[in-house]
Amino acid sequence: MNDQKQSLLSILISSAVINQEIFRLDFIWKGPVPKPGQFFLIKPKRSAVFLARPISVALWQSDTVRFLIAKRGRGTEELLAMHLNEEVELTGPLGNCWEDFFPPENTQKPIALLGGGIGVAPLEGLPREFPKYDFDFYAGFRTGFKTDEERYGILGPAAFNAQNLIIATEDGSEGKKGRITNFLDPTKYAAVYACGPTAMLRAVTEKCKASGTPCYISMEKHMACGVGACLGCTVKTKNGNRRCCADGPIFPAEELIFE
Amino acid sequence: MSKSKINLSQVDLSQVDLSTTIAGVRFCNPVIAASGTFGYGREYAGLIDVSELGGICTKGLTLNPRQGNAGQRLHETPAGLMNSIGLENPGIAVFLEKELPNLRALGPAVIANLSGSTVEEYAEGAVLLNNSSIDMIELNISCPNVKAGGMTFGLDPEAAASVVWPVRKAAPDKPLMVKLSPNAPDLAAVARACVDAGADALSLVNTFKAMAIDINTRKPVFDNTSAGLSGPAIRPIALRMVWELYDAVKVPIVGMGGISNTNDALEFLMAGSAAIEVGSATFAHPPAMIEIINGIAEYMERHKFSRPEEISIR
Repeated sequence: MNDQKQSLLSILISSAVINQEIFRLDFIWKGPVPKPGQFFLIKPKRSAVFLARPISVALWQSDTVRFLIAKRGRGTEELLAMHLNEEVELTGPLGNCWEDFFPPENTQKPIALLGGGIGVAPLEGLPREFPKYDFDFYAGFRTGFKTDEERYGILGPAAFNAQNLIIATEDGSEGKKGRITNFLDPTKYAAVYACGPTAMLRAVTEKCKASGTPCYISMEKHMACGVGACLGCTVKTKNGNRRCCADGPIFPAEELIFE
Repeated sequence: MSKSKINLSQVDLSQVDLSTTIAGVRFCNPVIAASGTFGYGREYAGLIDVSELGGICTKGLTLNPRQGNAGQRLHETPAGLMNSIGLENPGIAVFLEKELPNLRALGPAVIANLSGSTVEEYAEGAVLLNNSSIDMIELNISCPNVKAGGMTFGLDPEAAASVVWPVRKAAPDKPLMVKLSPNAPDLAAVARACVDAGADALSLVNTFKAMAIDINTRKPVFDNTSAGLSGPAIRPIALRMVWELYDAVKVPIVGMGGISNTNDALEFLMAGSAAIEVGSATFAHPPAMIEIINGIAEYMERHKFSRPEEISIR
């Protein structure tokens, strides 16, 4: 059980609109230091929605924490509308982390990071935090970046600190044309860490199963408590129901049952 | 301002006696974590000082383990949320072995929320709880999210008595509180039937039966079609029900339904609740219960009350 978590009143210190769907928020955070793959519950102090929103942490420094967020509904729209210095309640860091599933340090093969759309966010912190490992970064999008601000806003240092960066778009306007999983050869890797749309996760699970490569997936669910108390975010696995918030959000792909 | 911890104690709690006794069970203050919203007590460690709570109600427990409901389990509303968890739990035996020792050690009074599909299942569960260290049973005859049992026992006086009496007999050593459903057509009649069958206290409200439809899939959001609504949306209705129940029975009432802050809690205590439970508010703001405990203490100090019962206006 993760006891290294806190609820703190904080403030927004920076925000940026990256494209029509994605935006970035930086908050003061003086609580426990997060690990790549963990998430926070975020709720503006002045809010018209009932529940905080669970958002994976993208990057952090000593006193700040950064989130890359996709506009999905009323809760994320409210986050997008926050003003600088506005008060926010942050609860975290929550859930498990990629580190829990690292291959042995003497592994000869690199690790593949596979992000689809906003699914790149929970992978952002890995190459910076774990320079001992080699990472290749695979990022898939529907369409290409229109500006450099968009490119660097979404991909961030993870992609550019990786050994190899492979981008694919469905319309071919950036990088390779097609689904990003088509360009991944799991046999080259010690493990694959993935986050993104269900179709992508299903495809990477199949591919890794066929090649016998360990694959780990960060799942997304509607949540209420975020700490394992309410059982509202359960994920179906071969070992029964698991709590996305407290047992995950990262699960071995072979255990997951995609609905 | 860079950071401020939210759960600062503003009042020296040792100066105000917040303790209250319900059916022989002593609570160090009248604020109890509601069933299904606080797991088995350890999940919120780190976020709040759990030992400060008056009591903790466990997640709904059944004799045998349950998987709960399939499909989406949560849906937010403008002032609350609907849930359809479906009593997922590891079964009473596993709870007693794996969760109760830790829950017991946290400090607050331990209330086991007991559910079931048949009278026999309820009674067998009650026997196990009777032989454990729990302080009180909260008999759940009001879960709207299971097809068999649950709320069907709580809608009708005879059906309610048919389960309360066997549980009373099966657990003679434990105070028995029955959690009522706001969906009962005649709540007072159900309440009186429960008291006549041996209930020492009553808690209400459980969630209101409600629903949502996904306009994109053109289907109900929940596999069971309906789900249970909680949160601030139900609070004024719940408060009215507590007020009316106070006139119908003589046993202590534990009131709940959308309580989110001190003001809400005081309203329920004024309406005649001996204690209150807080549920969904903890999701929206984890320190809510601690703030409420401090707020009640401040209010009592301001009004020179020496016991929480003095808050009541009934």
